[in-house]
Amino acid sequence: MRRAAFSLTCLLVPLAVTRPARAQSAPSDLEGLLDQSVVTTASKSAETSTTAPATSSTLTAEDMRRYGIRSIAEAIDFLSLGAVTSDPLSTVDIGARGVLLSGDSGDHFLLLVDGHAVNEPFWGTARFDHGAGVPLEMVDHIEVVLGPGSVLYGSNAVLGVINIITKRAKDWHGTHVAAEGDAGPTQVDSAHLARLPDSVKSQLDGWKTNNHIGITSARVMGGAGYEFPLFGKPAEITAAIEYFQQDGPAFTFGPQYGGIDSASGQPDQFTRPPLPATGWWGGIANKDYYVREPAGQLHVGWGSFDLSVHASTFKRATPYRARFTHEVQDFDDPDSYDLDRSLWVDLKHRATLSELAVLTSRAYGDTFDYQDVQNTSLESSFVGLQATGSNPTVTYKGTTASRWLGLEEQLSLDWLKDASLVTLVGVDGRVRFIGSKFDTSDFNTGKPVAPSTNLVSKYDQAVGVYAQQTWQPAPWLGLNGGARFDEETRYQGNVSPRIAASARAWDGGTFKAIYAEAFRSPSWAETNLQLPLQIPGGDLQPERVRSVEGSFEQRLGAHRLLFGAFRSWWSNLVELHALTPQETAAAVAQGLVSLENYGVTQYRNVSSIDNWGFNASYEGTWGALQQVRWGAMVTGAVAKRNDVSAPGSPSEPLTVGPQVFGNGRISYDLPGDLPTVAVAVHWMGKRYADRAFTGGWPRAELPVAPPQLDLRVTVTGSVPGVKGLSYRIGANWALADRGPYVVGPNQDSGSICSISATCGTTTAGAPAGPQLVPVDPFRVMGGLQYDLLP
Amino acid sequence: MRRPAERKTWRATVVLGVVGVTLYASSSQDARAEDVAVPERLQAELVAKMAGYDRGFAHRAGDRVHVVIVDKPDDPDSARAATHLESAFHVLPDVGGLPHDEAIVSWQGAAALPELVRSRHAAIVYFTPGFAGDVGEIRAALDGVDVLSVTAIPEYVARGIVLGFDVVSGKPKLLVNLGQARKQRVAFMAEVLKLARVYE
Repeated sequence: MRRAAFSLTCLLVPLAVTRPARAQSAPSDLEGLLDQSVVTTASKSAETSTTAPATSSTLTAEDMRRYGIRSIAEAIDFLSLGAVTSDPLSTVDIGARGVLLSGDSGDHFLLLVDGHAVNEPFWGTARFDHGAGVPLEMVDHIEVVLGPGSVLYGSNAVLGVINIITKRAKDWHGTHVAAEGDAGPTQVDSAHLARLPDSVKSQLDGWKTNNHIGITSARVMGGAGYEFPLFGKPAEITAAIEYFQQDGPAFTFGPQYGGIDSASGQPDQFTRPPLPATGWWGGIANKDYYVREPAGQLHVGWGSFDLSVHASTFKRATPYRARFTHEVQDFDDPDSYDLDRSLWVDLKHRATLSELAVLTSRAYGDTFDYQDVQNTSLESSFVGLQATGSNPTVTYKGTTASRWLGLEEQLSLDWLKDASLVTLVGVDGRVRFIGSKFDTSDFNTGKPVAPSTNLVSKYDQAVGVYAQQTWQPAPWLGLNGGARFDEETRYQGNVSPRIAASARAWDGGTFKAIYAEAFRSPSWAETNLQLPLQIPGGDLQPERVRSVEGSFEQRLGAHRLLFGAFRSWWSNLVELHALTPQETAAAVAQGLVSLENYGVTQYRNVSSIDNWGFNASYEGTWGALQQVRWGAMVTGAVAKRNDVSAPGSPSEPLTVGPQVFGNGRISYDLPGDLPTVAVAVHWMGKRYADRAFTGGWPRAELPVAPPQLDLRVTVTGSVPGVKGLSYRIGANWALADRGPYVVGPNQDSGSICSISATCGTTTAGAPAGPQLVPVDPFRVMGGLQYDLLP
Repeated sequence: MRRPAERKTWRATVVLGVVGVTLYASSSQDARAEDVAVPERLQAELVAKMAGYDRGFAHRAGDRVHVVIVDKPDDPDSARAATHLESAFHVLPDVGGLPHDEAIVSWQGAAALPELVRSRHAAIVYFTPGFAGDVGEIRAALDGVDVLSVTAIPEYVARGIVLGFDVVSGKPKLLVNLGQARKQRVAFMAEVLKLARVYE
């Protein structure tokens, strides 16, 4: 927290010592008004962020281009207040205000695209990186709303709500194409392989370096926005498709010695036969860190109707195995991957019934599939299965599907016809299908080697009813209160209230106070998924969070300063619980697991979190044309986890999520046709690794990722002589080389084999201690965009 | 506590109700709503500031600023916007540094506009949504009339309303039709035009 205080001081000092440069010039007051964000997410109506019943930040398309942003996750990290992502070289984790629950598939943050809720019910999945599947050029702005938001949106809005607003045709007129890519070293040497003795190197697959400069990712996008009359009514269409491909960089992992395979009696086979079983995991992973993402987004407006359609697939491979992600996959196996397929349609209609009433109707349908494919050649991972050949490999394929149809009706009643007393009532009902299966097949022949298991096929209904009352009793005072009642098949009613007040104390100064509650419905994976080492969670209760916060915002010309403090209490958190021997015996008696299985887990409501802290931001502009823009955000938070299933056990910090983090940026529009130069930083304090408190490490040796600083320099401008053609070039440096995820088969202190003789004679030179996920330290990017205006 | 069967019936009833209302609502309207993206309170504040940067405003307004808000009869969107704007202006301490009053006037046709402005000594005439088919006539009618015409509908500015607002990337944006401004003797200072999207 001392670092946080220091950071806050650094943030405030510039405001204190910098006179508001535009205060003396004519339009500074106007600039102040124009710099206010107009948000719609917090209360489902347009209002300024200053008076909205939540702390929010608006990430604009202009800033995203200016600061070299290439994904939603990067926008969150470099531009937002209070939210942060963490990349395990798979799909990112997201958290806010000190709470980040790694591996949660984003199900503690509600993701909206044009108001359409994306999180699916099986895993609660929402992707915030390229997996979001929304072409960035089509994004108008992103609203990041912090704190509980279930009052209007129901489940998943516990950390907050992120609403991606796409562009309308008037703001994206014409035809647009863009292409950009990343380049840099094709290999990140992070495992100190060079220092290993040859006797160890010789047992690792592909340890020899082949580093050079090359392109590691590329993206192409095409889109258009047009307005036209259709059957006598105004119509518009905005659409974009994109394809993103990433291959590498290659990372070096390990070496970690796994020991002797209990099933084969030979050293562990971490690589695909015919490579020999050496017992070693590691080397250069140059084939299994990739992404393939085709995606498209469409909006059609006609009459009073708005239609949005989204389609995307997101295939990616993760270049390591870990305890909870890709537990058994062979090393550097490009055929082990994860795949999302998403398609949704949202049709909205707005009817002004009278001066008093506006009715908004919405019908929507979604389908989301997920596949987890892992190939393993480690015999103890497929004991009892009849894989073929002398060097068998088995493919495990988990498939889940979510489909849902919904209708929402929302009635706004403006009682006094002056927007000072408005009631919003709504009902949102949906029917859902949830299915899953688990297939086991022979990798070499593709034939099943075991019957499909975990056959879940359920239909259910979910209904939410909400009401919100806003009241402005005086021009300086705004009140907002509401509640939502949610019910679904697996549990009875759940109420999420919110009450908020904003008071303008003096010119430009606004105080805000908010109390809110939210919940997360347990995912179907948590309640129903059954795996060889996992029994269904069964009768789980929704996770709940209560939050209170206060903030003060001061606008002074083109300067804006915000400071807020918050506290939240989380309960009923669902986590994987390792069954005791007695519980395992009971599960065996019920036929949920077989006797030989050990380390059986089950999702349970096992923990609570106590969380408090502050966040602050300072933004401003300078110059007659606002040529210089800057901003800085800082969040300091404490989040302590308590295991309620183990009374008396000490509180522990949360892992992966930073307790101190923030970002800063400054840009300068050079005069005339010269480019814009921008510098952005994103920084995080030290973070406990995901296995820090579950790996049995000695307290003095808990795995901790070092503080991280990402520095990004971007230059954007128009290509001289070619109307409509613009460019963007930049570079990104990451100063720390490790992230907060333990990688490899050695996931806890008991499994670490180092120089100790217990691992046999081949372990000489292997590093001791947990190995953390490597970070790509440097990358340059460049791209062109062509806007063909009619 | 309801039994499972009752809960299922309750949810099914709600879902069916929502379906019914949706079908009714989607058949009840056939005109595309012209969304007012900038909150009316913020619009009023922006107009009040912008008026101060119009060199001709003080002369036009005299001792008191009269704001005329024109709405379209039988158009609920227009009526809503008019009443919202009236109350938004009402709470402002000043417009362009001067005391002010507001009045909602029903649309009587473009030809009546010059007389409306003169008779009410209007310094600002505000057009609510619903005038998509009339903007050309409004522009022609106000040629040579000393008044600041304003709208919340971005499309109207390109077609002849002097000042308007839009939301671009989540921020309010000023829109100015400079050619029409000259014709209506509105002379915004260069500094504020740099902050605006300007139509000639």
